[in-house]
Amino acid sequence: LRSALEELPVEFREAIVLREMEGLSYKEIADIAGVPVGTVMSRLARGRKRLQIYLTKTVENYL
Amino acid sequence: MTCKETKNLLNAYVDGELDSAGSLAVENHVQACASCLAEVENLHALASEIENGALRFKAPPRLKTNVQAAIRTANPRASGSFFQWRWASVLASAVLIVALTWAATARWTKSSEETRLVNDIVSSHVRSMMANHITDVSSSDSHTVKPWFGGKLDYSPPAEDLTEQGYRLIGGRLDYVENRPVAALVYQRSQHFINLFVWPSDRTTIKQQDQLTLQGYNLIHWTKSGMTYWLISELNPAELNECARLLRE
Repeated sequence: LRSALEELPVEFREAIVLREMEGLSYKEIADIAGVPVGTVMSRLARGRKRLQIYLTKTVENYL
Repeated sequence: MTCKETKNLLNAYVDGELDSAGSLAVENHVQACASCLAEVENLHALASEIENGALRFKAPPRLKTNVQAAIRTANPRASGSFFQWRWASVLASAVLIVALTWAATARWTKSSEETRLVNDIVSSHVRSMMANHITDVSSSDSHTVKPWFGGKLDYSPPAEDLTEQGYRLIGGRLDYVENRPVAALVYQRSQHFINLFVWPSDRTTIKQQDQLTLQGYNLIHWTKSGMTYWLISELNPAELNECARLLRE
């Protein structure tokens, strides 16, 4: 999971870390990143999607 | 709500960022759509994976000391105690400002009340001589003047005759000062009239004599035995003082 996070583009990683680990709201993330809330929402969605895909692949490889 | 619309909102839904109407719409759809439900479960699984993934690590304590040491070297003035002292002084100034404002307001209110009272007394004195109505009861006998106030006031003012000392009691009058009816005792010295206003004081302490001059009138004020006294006349201060001294005895 850590390597999956590290592989993410920095803006996706930023959004996910602030949301999942720091528990910030979309508005707070938007203020920190200096982007609209809508962008935060799409970055989170795409970042999570990539993480899921990466994790699924890893599990498949492992099996 | 269509599946596509819902999918766009699933992240916000899982993060609790939708308003209640949106949240309810997504929830209704998810209950009925296996694909969306699976995605919600995936998101929850990912969140708990991140939460349990031990992704956090604690910075070693050395880092903190190193950073602080670097700051101190770069800027010796920015030490912790300096900031603490600065905040303490800011706080102290704020407290001082509040205290001074409060004191000034209290003082100003008090002094404006006193000014109003003094103006009241001067006006009453002037009116009493203007309207040819200086006494309601005319007598130099304190046994006539004192009982006259009975039933008109809820206290009994002193009515000493000081004829022998040169201040003749000529009568009493009901007056109105500081929003209450008060006793006015009238004395005469040669051609000068002296009004003595008396009413119960809310101060229990004995107040030393105050003396002031307003619009050419001399005023003397004191409190004694729970009564407040205001003596006013155009008589010169020395003789009025003498009168006050006699009345206080």
